[in-house]
Amino acid sequence: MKVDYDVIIVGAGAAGNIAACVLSEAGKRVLLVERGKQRTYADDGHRDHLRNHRLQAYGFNTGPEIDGNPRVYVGPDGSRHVVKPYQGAYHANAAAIGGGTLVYGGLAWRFHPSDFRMASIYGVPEGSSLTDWPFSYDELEPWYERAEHEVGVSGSGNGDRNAGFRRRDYPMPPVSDNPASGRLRSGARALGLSTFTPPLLVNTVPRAGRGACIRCGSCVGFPCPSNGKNGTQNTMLPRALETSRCELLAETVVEQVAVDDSGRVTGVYILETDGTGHVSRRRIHSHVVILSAGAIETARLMLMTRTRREPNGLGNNGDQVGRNLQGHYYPTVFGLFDEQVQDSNGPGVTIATTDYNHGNDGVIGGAMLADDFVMLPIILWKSGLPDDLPRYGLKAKHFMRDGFTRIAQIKGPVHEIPSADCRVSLAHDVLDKYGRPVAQLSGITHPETVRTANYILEKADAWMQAAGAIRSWGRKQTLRLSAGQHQAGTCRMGEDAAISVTDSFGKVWGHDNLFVCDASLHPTNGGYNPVLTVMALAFRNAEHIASTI
Amino acid sequence: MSDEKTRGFRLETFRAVLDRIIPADDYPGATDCGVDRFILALWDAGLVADPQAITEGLLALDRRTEHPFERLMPAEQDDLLSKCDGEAWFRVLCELAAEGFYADPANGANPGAVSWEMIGYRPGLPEGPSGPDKNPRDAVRGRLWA
Repeated sequence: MKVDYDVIIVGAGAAGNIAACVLSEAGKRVLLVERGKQRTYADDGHRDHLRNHRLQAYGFNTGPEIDGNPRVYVGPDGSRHVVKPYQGAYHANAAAIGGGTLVYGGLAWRFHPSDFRMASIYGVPEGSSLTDWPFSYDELEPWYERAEHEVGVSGSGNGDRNAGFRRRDYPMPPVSDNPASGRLRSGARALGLSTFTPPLLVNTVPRAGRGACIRCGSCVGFPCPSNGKNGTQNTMLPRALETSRCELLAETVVEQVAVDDSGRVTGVYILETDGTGHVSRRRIHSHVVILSAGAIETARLMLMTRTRREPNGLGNNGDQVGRNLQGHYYPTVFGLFDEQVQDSNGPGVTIATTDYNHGNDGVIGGAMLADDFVMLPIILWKSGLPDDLPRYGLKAKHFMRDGFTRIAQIKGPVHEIPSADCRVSLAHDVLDKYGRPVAQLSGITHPETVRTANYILEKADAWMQAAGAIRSWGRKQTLRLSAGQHQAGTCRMGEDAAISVTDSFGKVWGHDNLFVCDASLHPTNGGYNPVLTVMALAFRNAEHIASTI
Repeated sequence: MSDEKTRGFRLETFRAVLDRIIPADDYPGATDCGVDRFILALWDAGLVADPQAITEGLLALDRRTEHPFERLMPAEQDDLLSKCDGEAWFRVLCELAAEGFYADPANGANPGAVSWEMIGYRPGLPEGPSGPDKNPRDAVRGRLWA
């Protein structure tokens, strides 16, 4: 058997591009397969406020294609719905070169040291699958540093009094204040909260041959006009391609993992469409396969690859693959001020506190709280207006007219208390355009998550009031399935093969050459935006893989 | 744009309702900006959720008045619409109108980014409010003329 590559990586997103760079720079021959397209600011169409990754009213500005890629969503009442990629219940992650990092806001958080020890600190609530990570913050610290310096993060290294130990400051200074920052800072001071400027994967100064952020008013959800937003597509992927040992196969779907008669992984099957629309499959061989397709599609690929030895999918003899699907609840408070607090200068996130990530009375875990990216006007209309405001007439129009520049937000991602019942499985009765069963999403987050989320909502509201808002409002959180762009947890790493899918380097139990490398590995997903942790894990695990093959 | 005859409701009522959802004042109202065309394009593309409910809502509105809705005084129109507040079809229509009025100009119903000027949103893109005007590779997922 001719082995074409040392490593095949499925998915060119936050983790896949880093793994490709690390492995190819270590001398390995790498094939990187991505179903999405290469997209840039210039060729992404107009700045469509209705079709982007912040507001997907009728589509979005990356993939997957709207038709032919459904999922099944099972509601809390057990009803099944076939959903399209832009619909909320689909829980889409951007399919493009760079994945979500092409369009993210780029909040670049290290998880809190206590985030790695949730079960030890809080115990395991009944019905939840809360657990510790198989290693501590200290293990990940050097890899966070690599991500911050090699992908590029701006921030203030000594700003966060609750953060874990760090050896090195960020490579770029933090973003500037906007008119809301001062109000929120003095409000926090009145409450005794510590605040600082949040870290962002955004160039605040020209760096690595690319410009600085030009402070446009539509950062998150879109490709960057100055290319000063650091995704993996403009940082790590170019480095991988420069080695000449990494090949990128874009707009190509991996049908499933290839295995031999004994069930050993030998590569992948890709699907190729010719000029007439005919689809054929091709087997490509490699020593190692790394799945970096995101928590939903990675689990789906594992479940779709069935062998005599593993009739329910790769690594799934213990019925763990696809379980513990989680993301983040996002309690959000809006505050109306008597003066301008919004000047449209992006990115817009300027002030945060981590005082509520742990040590909260009577709830498990917590969340980082911060102000938000500059809001698109239509997003304010759709999700930011007070409930008692009419949606028609001059009242609505004048609220938009007078309110848009006077509204600030405080929000934060709540550390989810996972449930094994939240899961990705296969819908054998609903097929994608290639005839494969689609992902079915079901389950409801553990109720403790909602208690924490509503606790955090109250804290955010108190902060907004202390900042001098003349009026504040926000929505109580309710139980639901949570995954979305922060999807995680479906191939949890651990030390016990009975209750995890991989070892602590992402190697799938029962296999010596199949790895998972993305947020699927996260045993819990932190009270922060998870992407820097995805990146740090990718650096760590890819270096480990490079040293063992 | 479809032929008027294929609609299950009166376009005059539809447009007059839109102009009370987003009335003109110092700044233009809904139909001044093309919000009616924007919604009908979505409608024709099959992207309006439950169009039947909107049709029935508009027909019910017509049945409540002796005179055509568009000829009523604004105060009378508002009075009738206030009775629809809370009805699903009306809420959906308000949201569709806002989508056109407050989205980027390239979506077709925010000419010259007039609503953004009104509220003080500054897009800050080098090419102007809608950003790049070319899309040489292919269309944005799910895009349509609107």
